[in-house]
Amino acid sequence: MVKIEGHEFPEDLYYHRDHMWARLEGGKVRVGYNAWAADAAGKLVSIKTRPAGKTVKEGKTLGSIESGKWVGSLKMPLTGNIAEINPGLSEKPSLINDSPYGEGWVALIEPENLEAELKTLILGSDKATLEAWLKEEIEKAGV
Amino acid sequence: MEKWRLLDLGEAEPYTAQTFYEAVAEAVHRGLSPNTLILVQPATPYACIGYHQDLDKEIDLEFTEAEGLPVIRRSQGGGATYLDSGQVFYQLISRDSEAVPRIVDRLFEKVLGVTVEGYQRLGVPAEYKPLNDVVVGGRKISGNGAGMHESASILVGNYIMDLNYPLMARVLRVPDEKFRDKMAKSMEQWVTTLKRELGESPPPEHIKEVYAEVFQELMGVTLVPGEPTEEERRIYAEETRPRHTSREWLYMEAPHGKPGRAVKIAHEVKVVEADHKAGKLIRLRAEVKGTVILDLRVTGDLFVIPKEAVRALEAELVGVHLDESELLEKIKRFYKEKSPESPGVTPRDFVDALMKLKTLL
Repeated sequence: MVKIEGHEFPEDLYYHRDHMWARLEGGKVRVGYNAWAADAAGKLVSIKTRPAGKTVKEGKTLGSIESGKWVGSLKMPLTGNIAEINPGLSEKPSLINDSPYGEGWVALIEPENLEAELKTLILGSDKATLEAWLKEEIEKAGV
Repeated sequence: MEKWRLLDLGEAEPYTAQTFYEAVAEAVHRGLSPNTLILVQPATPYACIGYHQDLDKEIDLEFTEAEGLPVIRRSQGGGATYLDSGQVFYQLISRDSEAVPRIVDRLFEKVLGVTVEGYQRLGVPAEYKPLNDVVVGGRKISGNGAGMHESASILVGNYIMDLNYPLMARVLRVPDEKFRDKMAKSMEQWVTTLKRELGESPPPEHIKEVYAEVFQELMGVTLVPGEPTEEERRIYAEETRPRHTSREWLYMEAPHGKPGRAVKIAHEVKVVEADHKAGKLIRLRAEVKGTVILDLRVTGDLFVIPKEAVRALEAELVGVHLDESELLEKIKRFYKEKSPESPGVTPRDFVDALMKLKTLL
């Protein structure tokens, strides 16, 4: 498993370049915000997402997050219909910081173009590609 | 050395002062504009809420409408505020800049370092207080917020020349006038201005000059004076401004809020109010720094005998942390020593009420 600055990137997940992850669960895909990006943002205090039932294209906005006085976007890693939004996040957005791949998941998606779009994501077991991308991101982040 | 454009928009009407940078951010994101520092002053007053805030809950709309004050929902985070020509704004918009960290705490530390040095050169011994405050003698003297617009990083903040404290407190929606009084006093105590620190504020042109000079030194970039592009003007006129003046944007549904009311005054200082229904209603209003109670007022429909015991309990809890066991011990001891009677309300109820305040911090 790739580990960057103490943050894990599990092998079974797919990673989108807007720092979202995707996990295949039967015909659906669970998505969330990766551990490094959540830490970079700081403790999240607010989240607003598009409602379940909406179809959103890959790379378009799934929601917005706020940590203290920083606001950022959550992007859709894959095109699809939002089947469910994590109900625990509205009460406690910092679940994303505490458990980014577990309790802090953001949405469950019914993908529309899974096969083609998965090829654009980085699989966690492809360590070389994942590390190269994260290195680039960390350099951009001014670490 | 990286070259950035410097846009001095002078004094601008509220929407331009508060939102033109979003059009610049869109242009920067599309690769049509260079990294940019905007300096601007609002020409006239307005109220402003944070991106995720609930308009109705935060702003006294009857008052702003009666006064003809525009209300703007900014794209950045933080709380509701009142702004006018007493502030000079700096707005940084960049993409893939080596000068601008993307890790949020480092971003604030670096950019607020410029604000601090600027204040120092203006004669005010300002300090950086993580995460995003600039203080003088413990009092806030600059408000800052940040965010991403697609691939563009944004940081906005201000130099406070002067502040209309009563209006600042007046535009906010509050549970009652006592809350507003407490908030106004707290603002005067915890927020300061160049005028208060120096007797008179330097003129805005001088503040801008100093900021631009320090910006180049500490950010390691060269500023090149420029003008907004045609494309930026078009984005602003056709996208940014219509979005901000639309009812849909202004009344955007806020994320799930917590019951009670909290107003951030300055670094770590908040005025909060919460109700707790025990056998009787306990309403608590407090000024809190971190988790320490600075001031507390207990009201509601509870009655305590002797009635002076309520004031004594309030005084007893000043300086105490909002920590369950500490509070329980303190309140139990108070009941043991003073033997007040409070039908329908136990020490445990007071603790539960106080812990509700903590959820608002």
